Amino acid sequence: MAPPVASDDLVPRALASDNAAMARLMSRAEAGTAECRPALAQLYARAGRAHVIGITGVPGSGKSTLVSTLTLKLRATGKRVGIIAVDPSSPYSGGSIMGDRIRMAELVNDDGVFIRSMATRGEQGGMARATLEAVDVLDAAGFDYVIIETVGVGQAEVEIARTAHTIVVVSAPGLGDDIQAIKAGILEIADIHVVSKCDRADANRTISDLKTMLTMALALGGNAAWRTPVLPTSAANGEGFDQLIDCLQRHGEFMRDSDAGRARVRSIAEFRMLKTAEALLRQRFIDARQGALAAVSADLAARRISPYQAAERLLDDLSEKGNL
Amino acid sequence: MNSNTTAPDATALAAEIEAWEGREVAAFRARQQEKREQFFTYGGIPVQRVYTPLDLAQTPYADIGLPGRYPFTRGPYPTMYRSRTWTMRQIAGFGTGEDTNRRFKYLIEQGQTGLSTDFDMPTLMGYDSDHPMADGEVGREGVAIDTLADMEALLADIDLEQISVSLTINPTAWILLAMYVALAKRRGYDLNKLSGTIQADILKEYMAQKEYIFPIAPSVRIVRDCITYCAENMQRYNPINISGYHISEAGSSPLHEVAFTMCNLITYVEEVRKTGMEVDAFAPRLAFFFVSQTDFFEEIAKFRAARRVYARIMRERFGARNPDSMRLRFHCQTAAATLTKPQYKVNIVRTALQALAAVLGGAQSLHTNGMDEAFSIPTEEAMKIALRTQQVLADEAHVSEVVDPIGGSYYVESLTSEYERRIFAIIDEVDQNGGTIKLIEEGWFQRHIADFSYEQALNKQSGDRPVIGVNKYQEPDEVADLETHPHDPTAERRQIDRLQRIRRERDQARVEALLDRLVATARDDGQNLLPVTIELVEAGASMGDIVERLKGVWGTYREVPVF
Repeated sequence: MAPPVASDDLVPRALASDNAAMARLMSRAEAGTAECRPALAQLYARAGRAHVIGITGVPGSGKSTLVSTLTLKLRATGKRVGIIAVDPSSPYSGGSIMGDRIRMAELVNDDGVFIRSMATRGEQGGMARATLEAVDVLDAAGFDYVIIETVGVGQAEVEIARTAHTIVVVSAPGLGDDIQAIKAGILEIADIHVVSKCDRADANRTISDLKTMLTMALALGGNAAWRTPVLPTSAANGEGFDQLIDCLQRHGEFMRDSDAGRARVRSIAEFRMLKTAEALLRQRFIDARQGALAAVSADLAARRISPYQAAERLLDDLSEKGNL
Repeated sequence: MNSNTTAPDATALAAEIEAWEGREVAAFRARQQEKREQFFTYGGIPVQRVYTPLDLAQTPYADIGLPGRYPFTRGPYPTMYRSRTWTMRQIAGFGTGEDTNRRFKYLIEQGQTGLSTDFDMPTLMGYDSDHPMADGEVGREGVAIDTLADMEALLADIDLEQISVSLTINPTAWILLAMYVALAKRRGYDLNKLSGTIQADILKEYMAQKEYIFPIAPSVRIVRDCITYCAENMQRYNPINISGYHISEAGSSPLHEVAFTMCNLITYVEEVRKTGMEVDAFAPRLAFFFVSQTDFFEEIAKFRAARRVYARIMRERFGARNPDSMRLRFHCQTAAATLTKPQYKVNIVRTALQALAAVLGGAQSLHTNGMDEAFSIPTEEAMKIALRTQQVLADEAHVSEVVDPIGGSYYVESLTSEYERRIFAIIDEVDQNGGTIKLIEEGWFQRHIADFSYEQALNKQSGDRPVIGVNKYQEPDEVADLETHPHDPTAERRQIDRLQRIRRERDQARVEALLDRLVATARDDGQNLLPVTIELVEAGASMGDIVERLKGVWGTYREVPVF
């Protein structure tokens, strides 16, 4: 077996948009090996131009269809689009219905599109880190847009969506109210609301109810810098996609050119730092605790100290030895 | 004729405007740019820097005309407030009939000239005061009415032939009307001399306010029955108040307020005509209710356009011949949704401006909101100041001597015509897409209301739409120093005691027999519900008795929430 190519050697090929090199770097990022960190650092330094769009919504809301249609529209303007699916039900991750497969075929054979699906396993927070490193790979390779598709249920998925420059929350008519209620928790993070399948008559109800709910949640202080639009779209007849692209562009400019936008870019960077620090700390703790448990566990088992005291003593021991 | 007093011809005027823009306007804009590239009305209609006779080229003089003449743009009557000031009709309602009766008398003492009644939620929704759903709501936001005895208490010592009473109630409107008729009969009044209004506009409930009980078809039939009963028995009574107010309060634009109200009008007229009744037999008593919103000139144009549109619909669409069928008469209320909690006294000023627009727009009756209504139902003091606002307009401001004093304003006439065009465009769209009821079921109206409402919320959030005290000139340390209307905790007990006493004392067998007749009448769409309902309330039946039985016949209407 040939020795694996060093990550550093993959960097020039990834920068030239070599699909295999990009994919391998993403896999190594996902595995979290230390070997790839310098390579990822190089890519991070060269990234920062792509517009990162988070698209989220409950299963059945039409996210994947929206992503396909949006990507085709963006491709028609000559832009390159990366798609990262963090959604086990996404056709990009294997689950799909026939219509999506057909739409996908057009994208799969297009050099201007790179599709990657992230496994939704692994430790808490690790998925966000790996996803953002995959974004860096595509960004550094010169992709104009990177779309992160997540299912809008669960804290980890919502956290990932929040690391995008522009968060699109997708709602759809005809889903049971129980499903939509789960999603109520993510409505407030949207920069753009999309109501998909608006060719259906009952879309009016979805739009009215959504707007009524959003109206009640708005703070009327008079200093909001971004107006969150509610856009009806239909992948069936193409309605709404020009407006969506226009809104994405305006939001991209807002993030670049406004104080509020720049502050949010900084807080996304801080979030990455914190998530990475948490992951590192966790790994160090796992490495360091080997053999250190016995010293306190006897006292704990004999109920001479409480679990809380035991944990504090363990951490103090590890810190004193400089292992954390 | 002196040529200096007539406008130049169109070509000369266009040239003059161009020269003015090139010179004076350009010079001033070079010094100080205008605040926006394009200005809009509150309702989103683009407006120009200035209006001239050129802007009236599309408005024939006949569209403007004279007050009291078709198309009634300038007013329903030729003399308007010169003969009779608008009716000052402050709405009131809380506690029991006795409690509200005291407020009515106070308002009459203060110079109020009409009465208007707010009902509590159980009454509005057809529950008796001792129903579990009514718990905690009895008399809280309006007066509680269960039986005819409550109505007697509400209107005790008030001469119904002298003062008109408006009842703000919808799904249960016909029961209140039945009580009103029963009371009038008991007191020996001539039904044909009673004036007053019952709101009974159910379609706007499905669109906006959401106070409905039954499915749409039987609900519209109830409206039909109110209209035909009054046409035959109560010559001076308004059996419906077709209301844009609640559509506006739910967040619609002023344009949609009027346009959707006209769609509802059309549905009701069609429904009544199906019974074979001629349009001129009932149309003279159709009445309207609009809001006076925040954009002063737009509101005046809106009222004027509503009159013109109504006249055309009644004459051209429905073939009315009697001018009384074409005169739009409306009650007006200042916009409660514009009231703020911060710096609440500013509400007096907002209300005064909205009231002035209503008067200049030719309202027949007016309610001015209390300054404290963002907090609770108004106190006596707040209602007095609101009433005094109307009295200052009527007696001090000299705005009622000349009929339609804004008529002829290039701007307002142009905006009036623009409103007329846009209202008819919406009516055409509704006709083409299957009519009002179908589009209610599809959420089409609700969608338009939500669209404008959300847009306005975003405008307030961004500061594009200033609201004094809320997003501009805020006072973060302000402490609201007002005393709000107290809720009387004894009202519920007093109300339930009377209801239960009446149930004990009435002839139960007779009530049951009448309820069976009610059910049979409800099942026969060709019959009118009013006569048997009048007998029922006379026999001591409660609102809950009647509504519960009819739920068994018609079922209920439900909207499943999406989120």
